[in-house]
Amino acid sequence: MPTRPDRGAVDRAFDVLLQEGRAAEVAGFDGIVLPFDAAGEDPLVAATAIAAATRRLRIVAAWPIPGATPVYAAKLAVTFQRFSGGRLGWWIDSDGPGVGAAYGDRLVRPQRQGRDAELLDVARQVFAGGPVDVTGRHATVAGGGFADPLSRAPFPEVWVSGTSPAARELAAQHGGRLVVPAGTGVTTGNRSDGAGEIGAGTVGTLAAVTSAAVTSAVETGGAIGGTDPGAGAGADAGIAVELAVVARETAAEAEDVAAAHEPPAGALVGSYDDVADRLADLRAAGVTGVVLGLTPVLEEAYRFGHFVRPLLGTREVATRVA
Amino acid sequence: MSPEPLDVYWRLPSHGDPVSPRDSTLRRGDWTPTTPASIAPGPDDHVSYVEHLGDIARAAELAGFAGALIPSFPVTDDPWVIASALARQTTTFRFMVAFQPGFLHPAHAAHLSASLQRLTGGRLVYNVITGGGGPDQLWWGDPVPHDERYARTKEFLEVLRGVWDGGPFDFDGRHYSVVGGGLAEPLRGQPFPQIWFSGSSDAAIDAAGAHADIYLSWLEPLDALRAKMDRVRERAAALGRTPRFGVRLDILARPTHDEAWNEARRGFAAADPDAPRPWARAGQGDSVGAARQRRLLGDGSRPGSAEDLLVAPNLWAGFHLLRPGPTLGVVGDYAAAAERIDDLVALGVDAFILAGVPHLEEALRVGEEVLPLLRRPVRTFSSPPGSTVASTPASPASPAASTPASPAASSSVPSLVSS
Repeated sequence: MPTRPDRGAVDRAFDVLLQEGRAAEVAGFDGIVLPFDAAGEDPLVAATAIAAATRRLRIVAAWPIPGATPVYAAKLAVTFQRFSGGRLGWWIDSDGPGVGAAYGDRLVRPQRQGRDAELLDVARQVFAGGPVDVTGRHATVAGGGFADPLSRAPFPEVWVSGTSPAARELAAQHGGRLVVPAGTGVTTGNRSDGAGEIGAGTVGTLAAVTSAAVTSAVETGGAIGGTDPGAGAGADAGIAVELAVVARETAAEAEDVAAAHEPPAGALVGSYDDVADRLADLRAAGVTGVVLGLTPVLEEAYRFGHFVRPLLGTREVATRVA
Repeated sequence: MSPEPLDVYWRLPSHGDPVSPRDSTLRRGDWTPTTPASIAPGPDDHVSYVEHLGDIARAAELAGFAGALIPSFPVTDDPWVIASALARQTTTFRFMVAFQPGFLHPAHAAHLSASLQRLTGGRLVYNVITGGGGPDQLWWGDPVPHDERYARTKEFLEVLRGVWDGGPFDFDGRHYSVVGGGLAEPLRGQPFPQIWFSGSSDAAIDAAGAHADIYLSWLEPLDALRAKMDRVRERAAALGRTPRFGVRLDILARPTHDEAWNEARRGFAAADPDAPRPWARAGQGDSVGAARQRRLLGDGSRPGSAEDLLVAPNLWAGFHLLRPGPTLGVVGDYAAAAERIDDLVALGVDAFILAGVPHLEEALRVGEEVLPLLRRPVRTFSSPPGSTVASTPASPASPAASTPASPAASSSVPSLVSS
């Protein structure tokens, strides 16, 4: 969900964000994603305000906190967890450009990915309780770790956006979910064997993925991610696909809308039935979650809730708004 | 010309709260094992502690406080998150967020702060702490030594101000570097938060002299406080600044002198003589303020009576026995409590952070019974102060309906040092 809303007066941005967050919950989404945007509201502030206005919506907010020690990032997260009933996820844009030197970050890939891996590991140790003693390249902690009651809170879900080996490794190490854009070549299931390639640039190919290639990444629950707060490294939460969706009553209508608004590459454009079918195909291919780009958020979240979600039925496809 | 009104804040206990001064058990929140007497123990009854903090914030707002300090220690919940969660449940209440500059990058702190200003309509206030050192500092993952931390604080505040109103801003310091920084639209142009600066050492006073709006001290005996204020004035004058002074103090006030002392005596009698002293942990650090408070306790031997801890009329050095935190506070009837605050005003203090346990009920008591007796008026807000987003109406309360689902309580009692 953009932290820079594309509607309303500029000084009412939070009113819009709160409304969109509530709408996502009411429309039946499992959660929302709040990435970092230098010209948008701060993901942590937005996540906390939205959490206070919702009951069960999970919120996946940008991580790392730029320049924060891993202990402080963990502290911010643990209070969120305590206040929200454990609804936080961390959105790690592993392959992205990073926040850059304007935010004091001079590292570039792959050094940045190495640092993120170290910081995430320390944060996990801090959550697990002490004593945490670390002398790393990017963190120094002595006698650290949460005491009771902070140590009771679940570690945030880990969502790693990217397709690089470092992104995959980070997701795998933390039992996280790897989020890949639609249209990129990524495998489901056994990630190292090259089988189960998803997508080759068009939505149509998504349906070509066969479930035969999927071995381990399918969850059994209806909801995606974090259903087991105790899940730690090794509990692989699988692969999610991020894609924009334009769904209308008929495919022709959807294509008209897409033609007028030019959704991003890899967008899923079609009738409600088409969209539900493609999402079910993803599910069958072992994708355990989808991060949907819906514009405008409120109207399209409601539309999806009314017309697409019911079609998913027992296919158990769970959804988030990007 | 009438004098400027006083800025009077309350305190949000971000670490649980006792029910009365008579018993320091933290029955509010989940910092001690849940019992049938617990309130807001989180997962155990599906009322998370933030719900209770919201009650305190709204009570403080109703009682006429400008807002409240939200302390930050290893055992506490985090002030930024508390402020973000309570923003839309309050109207004029200002969130004084305690934070240590070393834990965030200043460019990001600016982004975070500007966004919080936008969420609250300009109700963010800073309590900049440079850390007590010792084990807690390493717990946070900050190995930088004392005086170097203050140098870092200066850099931090320079960068924070540098990026605040947009860029491009470049900075190449010992601790921070920024290239092409500057908040983007629409974040830039928010009111810059007022800075309440904590620190008692020479290095702190130097840093405060350059950046503090309000130089904050714990309550100390008046002579010591006067000397400290003179030093700050002198150092600040050399930098061309005239700082204001704030004092953070606890109040145990009742309708009569005897009732107030009865509470203090009962709290004293109930205190566990073997409990860790409040400075046991801070005492291992390099905090000069903590050392100054520690000296009030003399040789550390247990006093025979509550009265033994009276260091001046109504100034009682036994508050650490009633709740975690500094030693010195005010005990007395409402009029005497107001007079002790008036004494501080006469000394040149015009900003206060008051507290008392339990913070919820005492916010109402102190706000209704003590503040109206002060000689100087207390600043009141009909709308958020300093806001440039006047067109943003405060939303009505939006009760957070969380359904905590953490594992069951365990039973260790945390060590706790509080501001």
